[in-house]
Amino acid sequence: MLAIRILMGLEPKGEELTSAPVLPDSIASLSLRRVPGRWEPADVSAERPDARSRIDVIRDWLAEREGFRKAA
Amino acid sequence: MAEGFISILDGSTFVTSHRTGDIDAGPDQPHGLFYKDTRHLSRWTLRVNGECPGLLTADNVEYHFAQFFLFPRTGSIYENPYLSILRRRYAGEGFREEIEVINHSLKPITIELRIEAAADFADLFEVKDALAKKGEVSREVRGHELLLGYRRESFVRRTLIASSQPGDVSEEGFVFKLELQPKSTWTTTFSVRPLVGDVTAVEATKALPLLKQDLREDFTRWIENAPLVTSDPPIIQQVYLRSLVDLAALRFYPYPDIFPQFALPAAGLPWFMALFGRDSLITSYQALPFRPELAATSLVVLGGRQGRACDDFRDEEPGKILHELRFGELTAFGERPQSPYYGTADATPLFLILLDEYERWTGDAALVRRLERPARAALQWIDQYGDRDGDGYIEYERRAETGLENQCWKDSWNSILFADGTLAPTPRATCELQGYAYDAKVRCARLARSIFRDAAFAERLEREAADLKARFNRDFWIPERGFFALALDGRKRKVDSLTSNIGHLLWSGIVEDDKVEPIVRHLMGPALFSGWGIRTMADGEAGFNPIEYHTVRSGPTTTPSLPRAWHGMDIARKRAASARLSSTPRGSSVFACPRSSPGTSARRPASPSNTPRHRARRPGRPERPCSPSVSSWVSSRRAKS
Repeated sequence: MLAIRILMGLEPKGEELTSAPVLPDSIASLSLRRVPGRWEPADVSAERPDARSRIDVIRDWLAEREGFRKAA
Repeated sequence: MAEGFISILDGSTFVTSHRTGDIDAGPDQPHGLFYKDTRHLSRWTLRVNGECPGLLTADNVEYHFAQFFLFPRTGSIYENPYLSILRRRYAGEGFREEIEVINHSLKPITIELRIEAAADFADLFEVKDALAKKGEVSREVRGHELLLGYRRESFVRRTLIASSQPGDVSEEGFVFKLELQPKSTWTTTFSVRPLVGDVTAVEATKALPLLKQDLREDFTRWIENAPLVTSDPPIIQQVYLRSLVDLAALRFYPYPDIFPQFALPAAGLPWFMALFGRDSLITSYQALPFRPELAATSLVVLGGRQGRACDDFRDEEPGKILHELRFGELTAFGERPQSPYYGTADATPLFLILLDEYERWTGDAALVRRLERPARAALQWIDQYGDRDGDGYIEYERRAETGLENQCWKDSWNSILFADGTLAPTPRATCELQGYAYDAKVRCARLARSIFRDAAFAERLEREAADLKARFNRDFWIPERGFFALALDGRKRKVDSLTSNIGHLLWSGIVEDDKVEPIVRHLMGPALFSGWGIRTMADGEAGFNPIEYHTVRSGPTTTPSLPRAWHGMDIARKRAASARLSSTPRGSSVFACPRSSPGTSARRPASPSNTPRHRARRPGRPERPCSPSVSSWVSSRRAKS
């Protein structure tokens, strides 16, 4: 649940709910409906137009990690 | 829970059995019916004509409901059975079990069905440590009911068992002689009700407060009242739904007789279905955007049981928030300190952090005002008792042999190690405790100013927080390694191993700006970040052990608590989130849910922009796209009236 909050960048500011989403490469869209709080139940959504498949993301991460190891 | 067993639970009740539904617990096995830390059934077996039936299939369909499909053995693979036996078990203040016997044949069948019951009334700690009982066990037949009892002085526990169908009741259990007509079904319902204290036994079948319909409706409401999450790909919504179900299972009702609707998160099954300060506070914090009522209950209950006196046996001090509360025999007789036990140095600042976060999300200033006295007492504890030696930092050391050696979130005995693997001597001032204390003071300054209407107190807290931050960044920083020490030990030496505790510091806000980036690099570097999550101790430290608890494990306590200082460091955050999602076990099932999850309706737009687009709206209004250049979007400008 906290991971979803982080991905959507949900933070209360005064009487309002703000959102600054940062979706991982492999997530194309994420939306929440009826988020409770001091505001009226709120809907929030985010999209990542350049999302890639998880396999591609993992492959890139492994390559980057290998580079990191060599650099270290 | 080990494979080969099935567990169901609800509140303070959990039942663990073999896959046939039978319970046959050894003294050191956590099997049976447990209620409020005592085992109320250690034997519960079903026999058909004296034999254990075979198992077709079994499953815990929901966290509080399991069913077992059985058949009487024929003794030959060439002969098929003509009987089915179904056991359906529902947990809730004990359990209810429906037993159904179906004759599939065209001939009448006569069988003897026997249920044997026994209870050793073991305290959960006795099961853990295989200790012997000190009181007297009794059995008594009362009409059609069997009453199993235990008494040690004033400590009384009983189990009342009744069947909806008449049978022969003895001190060993129930026997039914059945003459099943062709294509007919026989059914009975057992109620097994734990009784606490020397109360008058009530008719068990009528007394069970939660029937299966109630449990089902309660579960349905829980799911339906939570926010709806959809994602593409759907893994996030699947993990979310699973989290909701797990959280429903962990609901613990501290005052079921007075406030049956008020729940807080317990710490875990089976040993930790109890009130734990740290676990309830952290879980409530994480669930705030989804189920804020958990936080309210946790705050009220923990505030109400705040420490009042100095008691070495229970590590109690005035203002301290409890670690663990138990109701079993050993705590009742003072043989264990959990009545409650206060050996945690982080629950008190975490209580204050949750109090502020709860108000920020809900606007429930009335609850904060109600908890002003506990909040002030908790702040007093941080300065007076938490800081044992007056050096300006919280440190801990148990005051009795029965206490916990480590009183932080890494509470295993060998979690606080130097880089060379040696154990740090106590008292230990772990780094995240200082971060929590800083955060608590900053947050309480806000509460003091806006809700307590005490500007002088707010200014004092802000001064103290700023001073703590400056001192901490000076005293805990290890310049040659570029991260904060895990702790200061009893001789004020820096405990220099690289651990995930530095992530908690980012969350707290205590890290100075120039140290944020080196910390993030360590967290996302290969020594700490495994790809599945963030290790509790870095690969390469002498204490690193890939099969230990707090010297390697990646886990939910470690991985997600990082985001606050990561603003502007998107790569680290995205990577941590990806890892957390990837670490969901393959093939893990999602419980059948009353509300079907929506399909993936989102489409990937053709926009070449690599900036996530986001939008927020009030329900009922047309959805409006938001400019990608806007960093945040206000979802609702009207406050709740």
